[in-house]
Amino acid sequence: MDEQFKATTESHGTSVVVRPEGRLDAKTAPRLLEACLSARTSGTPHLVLVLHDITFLSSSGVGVLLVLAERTKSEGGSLRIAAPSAAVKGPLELLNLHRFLTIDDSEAESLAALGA
Amino acid sequence: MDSTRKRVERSESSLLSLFELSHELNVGLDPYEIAQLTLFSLMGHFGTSAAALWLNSETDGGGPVLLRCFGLSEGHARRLGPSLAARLIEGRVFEPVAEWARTGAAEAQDALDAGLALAAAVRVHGRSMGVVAIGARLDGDAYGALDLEYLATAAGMVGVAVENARLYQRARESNRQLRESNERLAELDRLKSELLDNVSHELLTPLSVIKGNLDILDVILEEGAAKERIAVSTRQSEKLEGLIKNLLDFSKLEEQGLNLKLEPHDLGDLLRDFADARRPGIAEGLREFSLEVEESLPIVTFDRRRLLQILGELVDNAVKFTDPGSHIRVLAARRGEAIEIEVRDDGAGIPADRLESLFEPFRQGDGSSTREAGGMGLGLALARRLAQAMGGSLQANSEIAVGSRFIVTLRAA
Repeated sequence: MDEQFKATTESHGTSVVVRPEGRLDAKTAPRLLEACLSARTSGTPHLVLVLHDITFLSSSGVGVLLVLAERTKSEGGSLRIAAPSAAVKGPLELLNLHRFLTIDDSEAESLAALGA
Repeated sequence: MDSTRKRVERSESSLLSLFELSHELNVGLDPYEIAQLTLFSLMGHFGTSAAALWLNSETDGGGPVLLRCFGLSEGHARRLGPSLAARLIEGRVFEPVAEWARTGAAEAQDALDAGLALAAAVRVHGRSMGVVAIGARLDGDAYGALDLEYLATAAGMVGVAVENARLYQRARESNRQLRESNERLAELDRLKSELLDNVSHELLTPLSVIKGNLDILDVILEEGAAKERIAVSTRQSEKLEGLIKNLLDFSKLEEQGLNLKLEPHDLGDLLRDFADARRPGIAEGLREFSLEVEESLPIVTFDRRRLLQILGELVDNAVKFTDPGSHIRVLAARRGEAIEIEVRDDGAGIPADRLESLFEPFRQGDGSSTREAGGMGLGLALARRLAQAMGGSLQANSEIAVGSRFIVTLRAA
């Protein structure tokens, strides 16, 4: 296991909360995708990604966030990004993606918005 | 964020994205992983939620096969692959789909409906290997010339990575086949040695009975024609026994190696004993024989019985391939840390291109000589292996019409 990346998952009602830590890049993006897809079930269509502890976000990392947003949407759910670190906010703002991805200041705010 | 700063930051981000993609593609060895990695990177770089990659099949007629797609259905993506590939094969490296749609092409409209905006050919050395396509930017910004270049560059990198991955897989498959082939050959070799071993043992048992009876007949018969015939039969039985023992030794060497008795010896003593034993027989065949041993040779480590076997084989060979009147010499001298024992003759010589085949089992330098001189072509092969097993070597030099030299090299003790 890469020491620079790990992720914990937790269910809250109809949502799954995933908290990755470390770098989100070409090496770790497939692992985040796998962690999120395996944690979600038909009863938990919504996904909350807590990105407070992400120290670096590369284009591949941004790519996997967009894949997850698209995937949850196509399956009747939604993706909310909670408490993004500065390392996450920068690239998302550069690509104007903060307008298309739903970003909340905290995990509690995301869960509240999803009614969890 | 003002527009100038944003442009600079986007340029920096482009470089970083290309560096990351390049690095990861270099270590990727699976086309499926290469495709996923590329699409994540492109989607993140351009800020689009749709992308797909098709690669031309190596086996299925060469058409594009969908490897991975995000943001559009797999069915839709599968259908789009061939039309995008056909469009890009006409010399276009990349294709803004909207421009293409203005031609009224139904396939272009299909691509637009799938959310794709830009497609590039995946090429290596001018050869088309597939297509990569991306959707429109989520922020609505149009793709510019630099974006097209970026996509073409990334597509080229993907092409090289896929080519490398395929080469690696082919090399791995070839290695696997070679390994299997080697294993089969080794098994055949083992079976051959086992067969030789079994056959040799089966031959030796009745031969011992024949030799025993010949010895008895030799004792009880009076001098005369019958006794001479017994002597001929005894000599032939001994020759046959020698051949069978060579076969046994050879199969043992091939199978598990021989148990050698390596001990320090006085080489001069051994050579003098050997010469004394062989001189009468060689003289009987009308060849001259001489032994020249350098004084104060060091003590040498070898298996006495096996070294005598090697020298016997070399001298037998010299007798076999020279005419009466020839001179056979055995010489021993120190060469640095090694000791060389040479069996030299002044016979017809052996052509240079046949020297090495002398040491191959069941072969001699010349097929016709084999028939003429007899033997199975095992003697020299066995002699070389025995010399090697003692930590030494056996080499041959020869010159036509001058003679041949067989040199055994051993290490000083």
